[in-house]
Amino acid sequence: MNNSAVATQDVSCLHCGNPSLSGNSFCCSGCESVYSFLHTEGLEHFYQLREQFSFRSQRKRIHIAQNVFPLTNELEKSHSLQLYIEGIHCLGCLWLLEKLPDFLPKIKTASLDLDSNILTITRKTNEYKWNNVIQKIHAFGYDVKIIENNLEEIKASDTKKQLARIGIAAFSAGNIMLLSISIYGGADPYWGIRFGWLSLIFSIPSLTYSAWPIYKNTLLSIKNKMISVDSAIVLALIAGTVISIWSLINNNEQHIYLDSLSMLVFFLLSSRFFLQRIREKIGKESPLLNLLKKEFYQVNRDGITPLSIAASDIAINDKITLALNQVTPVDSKLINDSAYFDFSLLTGESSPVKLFAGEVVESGAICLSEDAYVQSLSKAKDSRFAKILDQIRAKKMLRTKSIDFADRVAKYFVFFVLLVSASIIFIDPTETGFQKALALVIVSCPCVLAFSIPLATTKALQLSAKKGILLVNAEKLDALSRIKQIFFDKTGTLTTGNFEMLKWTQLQGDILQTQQIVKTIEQQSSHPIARSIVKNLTNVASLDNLSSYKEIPGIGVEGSILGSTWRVQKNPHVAAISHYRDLSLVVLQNGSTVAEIQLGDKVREEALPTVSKLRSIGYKLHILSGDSFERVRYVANKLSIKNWHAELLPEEKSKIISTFQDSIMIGDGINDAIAFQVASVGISMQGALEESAKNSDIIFTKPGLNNILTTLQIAKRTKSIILGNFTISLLYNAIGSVLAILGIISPLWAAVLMPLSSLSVFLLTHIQMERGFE
Amino acid sequence: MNILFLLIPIATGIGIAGVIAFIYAVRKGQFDDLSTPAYRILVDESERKIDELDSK
Repeated sequence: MNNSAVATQDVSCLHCGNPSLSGNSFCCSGCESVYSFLHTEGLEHFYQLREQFSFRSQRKRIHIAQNVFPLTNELEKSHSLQLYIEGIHCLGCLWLLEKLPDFLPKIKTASLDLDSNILTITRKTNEYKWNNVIQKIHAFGYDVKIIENNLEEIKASDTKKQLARIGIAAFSAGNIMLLSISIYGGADPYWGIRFGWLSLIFSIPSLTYSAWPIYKNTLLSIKNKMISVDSAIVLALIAGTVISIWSLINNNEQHIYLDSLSMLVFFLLSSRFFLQRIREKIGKESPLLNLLKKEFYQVNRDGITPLSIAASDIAINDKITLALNQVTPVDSKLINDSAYFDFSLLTGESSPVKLFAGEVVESGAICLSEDAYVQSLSKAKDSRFAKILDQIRAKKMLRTKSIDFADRVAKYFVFFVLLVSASIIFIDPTETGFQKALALVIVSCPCVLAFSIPLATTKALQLSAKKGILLVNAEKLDALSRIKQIFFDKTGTLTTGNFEMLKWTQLQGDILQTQQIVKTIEQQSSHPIARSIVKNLTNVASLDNLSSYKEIPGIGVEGSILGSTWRVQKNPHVAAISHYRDLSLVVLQNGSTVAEIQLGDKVREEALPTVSKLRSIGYKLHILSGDSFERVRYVANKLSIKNWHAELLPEEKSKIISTFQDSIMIGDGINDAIAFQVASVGISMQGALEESAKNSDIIFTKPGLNNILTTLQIAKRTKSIILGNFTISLLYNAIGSVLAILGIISPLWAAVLMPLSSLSVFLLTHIQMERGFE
Repeated sequence: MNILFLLIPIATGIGIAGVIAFIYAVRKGQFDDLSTPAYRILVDESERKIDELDSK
């Protein structure tokens, strides 16, 4: 097919579908080259498939700004390579990527996992360079990130072993169930005893191979002098096996618990497997975690060839080009005449700072200019940023590992079951009483320990992931349900952290026309203030009759439209008077003031309702900020938070928190990350700096402060559901096993009722968890 | 009821065969990726080969 023959007037690009402005069949040469490549390779089928089926449209594509792909020696030698691919949106993508071996003959296989966006490729000979494939995929228009460690592989072999254990446990449990039902159903003693011995044989693989991880965990927790869920289960397993063998030896087929025990092992392993699987899936679907990896920087070392290298490899005197919004990796010196930087993640300081040539840019500062050129003064590991990270690590080591939610609750449960059992023996100190007590222990443990706790935790994780709350540490659910103090960072948490237009005061003339003119002029500038004005005027159209434009450094911008000269500049009168307003601008038409614009770090719209709600529930609220006294006071007054501290160093934040118990620290900067370690729970906001998110317990993946209300609500509900499940299954099983032993209902009925109790727990958990969160 | 002496070993044998088949499937990676194959089946493997056959 000839490409140029298709051109018409209202064209959309033949490759990507975007409108083509030039009137050609393609919007850009990139699309054209991909299109012609697909045609020469006979891969036009891509376009048909794309029409048929598209998925994943709900997630926004993340741009990985990387076009050089350095590989470690180890990966260069390895016969397979894993790549994280961003930009997969349709069936055509799947087809195209898995077609790689067809047109790159040196590639043996290519397979894509849509859950994780990970493409695994293998090659035929080691002489073939991986970079050829990566460049090809990149040329197709996908963003590529190399996965450096083969963690996935290790995880995969672990998963396989777990599945094998579950399979064997299912085999044991199923076969023993068949035999037990006939015993319960009244098989004559001749067969009953034989079935009993057979059950014992069937239970051996389940109780040894399958249950092995449970024994291992118990040994660990005994070493640490703790009672965990697993130690309670091991107790039930050992007690049950001993009693069963004892009964068999005494030719008594009525007290064989091997069916319950093998069921317990099966339920426990499979529920844990699913829990883990769901956690992994939540982790995989959050692109954030995939991107919490190495950031690469464009570095010019010898003055000729630019390199793309990781922050850790930057040497002293390297010249680094920082892209817009990139974090400065090392303490460095600015080479450009001037550039804007945002220090809010490092210090909490909210307004952009202008630095001049020769001034020091601290690591952790975000570049707000298009291309800032800096020279490194230190290695990454010696920079200010790295020193804060070291402190975080040190604090993390000190942090006592919080006890797993399930283990904590299981302790109560085990204690309670033992108490009930003991009182049964006390009331009826005969052999029957002893058997009743034991039956209760063996029968009630599976239901709660293997079923209801993992179920409630999993539901909580799923629900919160759906709401945009990533619970990195699930055990923090317990701590969350006991929170009393909430510490907020200011910049980026209570406020948006961006420089925004707070107020537009029109003094004379038409407001809409003035805004149009201001937008038109400010669009020409790449200054951060100009950019935020344009961003806040998205609903206003821009004009196309700008006849002249100039930037007046340090003052503002000027342009002529419709015969008048317009100027947007700093307001010299207001700035000195009000401290809390970050910046005041005036719009001048031919020298006379037309409008006033106030800019600043805006308090989030949802901050006031969220804060008042939290206060009415009874939480104590605090603000800890590194920003100036005046700005923090302004925000604190606005939200009527009485306990606030300003101009804090990161270390001071954690010092204040450590004087309180049961606290949450919520923030977004690296200066909050030390505080995360001291607080009971550390939460990082959406858009938080990578290092800060990595060191928090909970990550918000959706913007907004009201997530915190949902988080607390989910945690509280989870706890009450688990406690409710305890009561239900304990009552259920206590009554069931007592009735069975007293002979009021037959053991067969008891065996039928047991799964029913699990089912009711399952339904209750599901209903209660979903209620009120739609 | 003596038939049970035959039936139970047969049932057990079938069960063990099932477990072996399951473990074999796990080892071969059948359960590694549960969502992509659902889409992959929508794509015809040998688009070009079918065309060639048709033209013959």
